[in-house]
Amino acid sequence: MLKIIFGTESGNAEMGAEDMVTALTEAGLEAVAVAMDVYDVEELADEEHIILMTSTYGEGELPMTAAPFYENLKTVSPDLKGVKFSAFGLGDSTYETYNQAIKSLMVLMTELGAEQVGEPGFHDAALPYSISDMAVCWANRQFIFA
Amino acid sequence: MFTHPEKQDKYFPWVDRLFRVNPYPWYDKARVEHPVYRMENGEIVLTRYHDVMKWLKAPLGTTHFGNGPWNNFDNTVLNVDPPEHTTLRRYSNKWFTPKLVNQYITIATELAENALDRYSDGRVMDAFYELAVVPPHATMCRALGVEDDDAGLIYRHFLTCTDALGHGVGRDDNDRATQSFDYLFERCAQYIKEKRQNPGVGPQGLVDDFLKLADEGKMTERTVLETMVLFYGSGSPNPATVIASGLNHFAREPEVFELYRTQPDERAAIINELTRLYPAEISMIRYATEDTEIGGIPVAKGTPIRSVIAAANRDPEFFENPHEFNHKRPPETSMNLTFGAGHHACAGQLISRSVIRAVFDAVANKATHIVSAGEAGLAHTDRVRGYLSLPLRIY
Repeated sequence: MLKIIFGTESGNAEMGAEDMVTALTEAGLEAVAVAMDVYDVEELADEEHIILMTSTYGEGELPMTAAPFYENLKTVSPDLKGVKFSAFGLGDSTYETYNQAIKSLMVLMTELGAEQVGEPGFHDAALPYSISDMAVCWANRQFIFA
Repeated sequence: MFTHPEKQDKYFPWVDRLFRVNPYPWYDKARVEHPVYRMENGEIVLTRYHDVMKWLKAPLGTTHFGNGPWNNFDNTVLNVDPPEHTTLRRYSNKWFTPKLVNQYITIATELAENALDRYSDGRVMDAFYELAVVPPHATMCRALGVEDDDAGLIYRHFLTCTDALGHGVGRDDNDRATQSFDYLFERCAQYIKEKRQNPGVGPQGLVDDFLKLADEGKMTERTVLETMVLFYGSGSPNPATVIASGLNHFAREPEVFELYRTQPDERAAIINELTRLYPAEISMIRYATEDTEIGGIPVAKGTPIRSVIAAANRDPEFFENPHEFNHKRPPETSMNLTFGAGHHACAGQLISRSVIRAVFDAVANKATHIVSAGEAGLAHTDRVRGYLSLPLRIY
């Protein structure tokens, strides 16, 4: 099962994650969206393949629900060898810290031994494309048409 | 209130009636000759897209709506900056997620469709009240968890409050704004009192959640009240200007409405373009928190810096033929600043955008013709573009 673990500030990543689940499910894949603030990082080592999805807040900070996830992950520091992850970020390219939050998570996951699969996807709020369209399009490329 | 023309600023005659009705020729001149303009009183005025965008997002500024009646919002996201702003914003963000907004928005569709049905025989409708004020107000009330009656009254009071913003504000403007603030605060205080007396009864929403946060000591009762007034009062004015201007545009250029009606895939781009052309709040002030420079002009700490969003939205260096409607602009030069940017971007922008979409969709589903039936009633100041009426036949 693909688990999409999302961090959000204003609900946009949640919407993108849920729409991604719908698209993957319709394509016959088993997928579920879980909020970072309710996900237990101790379970991460048992996952086969997860999608991390988060927005960036303020000047490159992690959003409200992603910050505790990141801190717990650093503290628990599980061995993630054998765990695959893909990443999708929501940001705004007019900031120098464009998509910094998902990049921070990608670095930490890799340091803990997880293997990143595929190119990360980025939604850019400076362009007039909807988050859901971009997220679903990226998921299609990564998991359905691949 | 109009001051003598000789005493007015050459580039920004803020209280001139013609300037208030159509400030764009002045903006265009200032943008070319003094894109970073220092007024006699020391205020800096920005008109270029990139300067406005950069300054709105820069951490070097505090936002405050100045002294006067707008101090009523000193404990809200409007007048505080990070880190307090972040905390407050997060409390309200929870109530404006896309998921919840999709639930609130059904009331806007229902009210708009009901109004369109009532006027489907081609009678003259005040489209401003029926479509631009009532649906947005009801949608915001649903988010707040309060009754949605008296939409027009609430709109007019909040619009009166905005008369105390901008330049050329006289004592009369401040007095009227104070009276309207008093009305809105008393009304919201009554709603809060009823919620306190009957917890869990009636509509539930952001206000009920904020009262719990107050009980937990996470915010003050004053913050609950101010935040409620802010959202309750501003729920309709911002989307109302875009909706009214958009309907007016559809009436002037029927081919644009036809496009909206028949090409659902183009609707988001059409709304984005209407939003660019017709912002409700046309400028914002922030104060420099340290010495800096903008476009080569030194700016001392404490200087008020006015970002003219309406001018930035029509900067020809960013938007080709900026005064023209063109929903096919290249993606990288299509995003406007109507809802602000940075920490102080409009907290209700998602609900506003959704209600604009819901109303236009309702019109597209119910009607094939939008025809002007008279002059729109306008209430433009140098700071806010507002309407009072919009007679249309929609059938």
